[in-house]
Amino acid sequence: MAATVKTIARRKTTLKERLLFPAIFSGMKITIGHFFRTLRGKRVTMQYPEERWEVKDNYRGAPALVKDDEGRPKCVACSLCEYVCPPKAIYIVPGELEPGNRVERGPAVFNINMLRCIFCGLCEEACPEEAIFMSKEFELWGEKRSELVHDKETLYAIGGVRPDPIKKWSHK
Amino acid sequence: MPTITIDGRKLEFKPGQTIIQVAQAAGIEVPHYCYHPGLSVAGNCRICMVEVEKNPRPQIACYVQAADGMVVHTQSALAREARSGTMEMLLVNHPLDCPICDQAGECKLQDYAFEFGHPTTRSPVEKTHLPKAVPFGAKIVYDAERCIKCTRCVRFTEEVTRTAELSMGQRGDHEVVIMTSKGEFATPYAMNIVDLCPVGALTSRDFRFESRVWFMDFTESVCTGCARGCNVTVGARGGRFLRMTPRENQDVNRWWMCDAGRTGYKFVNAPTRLLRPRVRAGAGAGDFREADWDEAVAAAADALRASGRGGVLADAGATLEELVAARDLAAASGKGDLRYASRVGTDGDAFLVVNEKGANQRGAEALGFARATGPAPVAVLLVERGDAVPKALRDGADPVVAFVTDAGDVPPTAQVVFPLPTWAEKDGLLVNVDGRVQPVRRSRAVGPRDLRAPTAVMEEVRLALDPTAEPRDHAGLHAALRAVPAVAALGLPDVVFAPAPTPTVAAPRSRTR
Ligand code: SF4
Ligand code: SF4
Ligand code: FES
Repeated sequence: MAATVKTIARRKTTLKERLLFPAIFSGMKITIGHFFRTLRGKRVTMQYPEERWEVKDNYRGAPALVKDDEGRPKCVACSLCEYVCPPKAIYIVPGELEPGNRVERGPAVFNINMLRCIFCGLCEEACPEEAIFMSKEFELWGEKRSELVHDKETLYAIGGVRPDPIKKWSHK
Repeated sequence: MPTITIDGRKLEFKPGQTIIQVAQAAGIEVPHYCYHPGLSVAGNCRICMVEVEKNPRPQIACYVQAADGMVVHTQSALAREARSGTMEMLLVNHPLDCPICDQAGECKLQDYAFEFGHPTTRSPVEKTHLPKAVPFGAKIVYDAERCIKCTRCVRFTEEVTRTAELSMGQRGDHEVVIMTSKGEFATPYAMNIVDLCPVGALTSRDFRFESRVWFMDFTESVCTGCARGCNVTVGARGGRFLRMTPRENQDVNRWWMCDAGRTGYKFVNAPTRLLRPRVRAGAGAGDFREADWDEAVAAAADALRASGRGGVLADAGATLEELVAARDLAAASGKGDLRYASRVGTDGDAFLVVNEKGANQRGAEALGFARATGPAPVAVLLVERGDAVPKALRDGADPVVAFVTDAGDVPPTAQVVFPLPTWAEKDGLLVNVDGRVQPVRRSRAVGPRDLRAPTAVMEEVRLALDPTAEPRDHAGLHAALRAVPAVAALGLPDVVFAPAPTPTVAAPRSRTR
């Protein structure tokens, strides 16, 4: 099939736009406005890390694994988050748990490479167990690249406990 | 011939065929759990219901025989409603285990629940609780909650292996499959019930929780555990061979394979695999250093030229292409005998397993190779499995050039050693015990990276020895094979293999560890 070409008519710029100065002055007005407001003691910058912002509940920080209020790790290593993760930041090796556990399967290895993670939150959405959440953790740093690959223990430490009213494995 | 109309298509059938058989033959899929072409008809799951005109109630397609002039609708409102009712019944007690169930992704219950299931349950009571993770012998795990009581597994042990280790026990909601023999299966074919189980009630201890099926890469190949050559599907991920399942071939293995073959892939994943070519560092036994492929090819040509030796000792699991390439390479170097070695077991039976374990023993014979009776020096040695070519034979062969899969099998007096890819990592032809030529195919998700095909390496060395020779690819090797009357008589199929990969894409992209 031959490509169809659609020509888009461009609007001619006006003289005011071509002069540039009006745009520069309107920008300067805002900057200078802030300058005087700061002089009057109304600061807009924050003295991080002494001062901290309040992280909102829907913030998407580092993904983390959670335990339920009985202390049971919720992840069952179904690997759906690994499947859905666009930058392939998640790596899971499923393992078998000893008999007596309510679920017979859990992750033997669970790594999230924070150098790859794009904080999209798809893992949280894919998880059928409500086991992985985007935490409020945004201070991610390390001296080596390997420190930014969060292993299972790190992920549970960040995630903490989330009360779960349903507990589906008790009466599925 | 009598005709039946299914979904508006007029189809001919042989008297005695059931509706599902006629439909399947015409490519019309009728949902089914308990029906399997290799087993008797049980008619207990009721998911296969179809509407038969002039019949007020839906009929089960797996049991009702086709009749002349019968008109069947597989997708009518009545049929779909019947199936949806069946699904509702099954899901009353089936656990919502999918996140932890190995069958998820290839589960018929899951598929039909999507198609015919209800989003919610109308049952006010808790699901029945039954034993989970019950060992059925050492190789199989049974989950009674997931079981839909289709009795496929029971019928397999009764009708196919005739060992009857399984039976149904209890009644109603409490019905479970039980083992009648204490402890272990008598049959060496028990793991077929894992494939037969339409749900995740029977799982293989070997594959349990290894990988979700949608991550795996599947390749149609042939098992090399014995000379039967059962047709299989190889499942692999990230360089690791994870499982092997039988593939239907009525002329070889029907729908089945043996347990030893199924779990006989471990050497493919061994951490001791030879990964890089080795050349001599000094004259002492076992005094090697690693070299790159081109250097090793040059060293192999020099060593062969210096020795002037001929002769081949090959693992009878080697492909026809490898054998003919080895034959010609040795001939370019000197004179010598063509011999093969293989393991001969004692576990052969009247069903599938044969005593001869060399997957290409017939092919080697046809190419003029004779069974090795004792150690004798050769120019070229091929060892895929250490137990096929015992240490006395391979070390006694004192090879000039050796192709070896496992670093533990390297003969200490070899001059140059190349890593040999396993059968799951290469394309080639094998001749089974009945003289049937079958292809093994390279799985792109198995094995170490950057292994070169042994046929290509042998051809390179041969060219270095004899610059007038023509380089041959697979097609060229096949032509050389056809020139051998005994091989041509087997009827080489025209198999087209996928083009060889560029070495660095042999394994999937590096993943976060
Ligand atoms: S999706 Fe949830 S349950 Fe599944 S592996 Fe990820 S965190 Fe675990
Ligand atoms: S274990 Fe599987 S094959 Fe056996 S009866 Fe149950 S569902 Fe059927
Ligand atoms: S397939 Fe027909 S009743 Fe089970």
